Amino acid sequence: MLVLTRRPGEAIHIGDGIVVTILEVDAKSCRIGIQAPPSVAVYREEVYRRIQEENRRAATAAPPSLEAMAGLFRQNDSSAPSDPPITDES
Amino acid sequence: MGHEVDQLGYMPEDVIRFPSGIPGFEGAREFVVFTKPEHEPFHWMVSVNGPRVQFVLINPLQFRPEYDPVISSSELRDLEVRDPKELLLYTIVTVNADMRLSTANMAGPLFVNIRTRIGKQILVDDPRWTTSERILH
Repeated sequence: MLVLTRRPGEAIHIGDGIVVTILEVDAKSCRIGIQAPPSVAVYREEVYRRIQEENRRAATAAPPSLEAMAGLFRQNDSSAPSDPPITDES
Repeated sequence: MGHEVDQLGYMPEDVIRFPSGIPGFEGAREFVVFTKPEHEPFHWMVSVNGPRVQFVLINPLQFRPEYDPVISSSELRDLEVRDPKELLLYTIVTVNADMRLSTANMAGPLFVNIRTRIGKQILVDDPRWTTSERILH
């Protein structure tokens, strides 16, 4: 890993079009500004991981019958206002 | 359903590009959304280039009318939005073996510009919206 020391206001250029600027530093955190082209996705790691995991779960699920699910949705939709709350979801 | 996309057919102008990819599937950047009346309000999104990936989508406003994800100005720029009316909103559905327990990823909605055919998964940093919100109750 490349390690560089930077002060607030200083920046790092990565390749063509990515600029990382240190905006503010205190004892426990730093604020970073990132400029990147649209083809480069920039996310906080923990948020990114959550989305990545959920995307994988969603994509690998067995192909469902969408007709059946659509049927359930319509049933649910029309009965929702008068339905008692579901307490046992197993 | 396997390679349903090959039988359904689509036009080049139907393809939606996700220039920054879908996290977890960065190799798949071109998708087509299929909508059939009998599947409403669900849709299929299938990659048409690179690895075969398929998702079930739903417009989250169909079951959470109060959903209000914030999209930043730089994301609007990435999507080349001129008019908010150009934007379609979807969430990815994780289908549970018990379909009633299926969830939608409200923390990572998909925005698609129907004019430019550019799509992007937006990460919503809001504790109210999680990656697995129940669709049915």
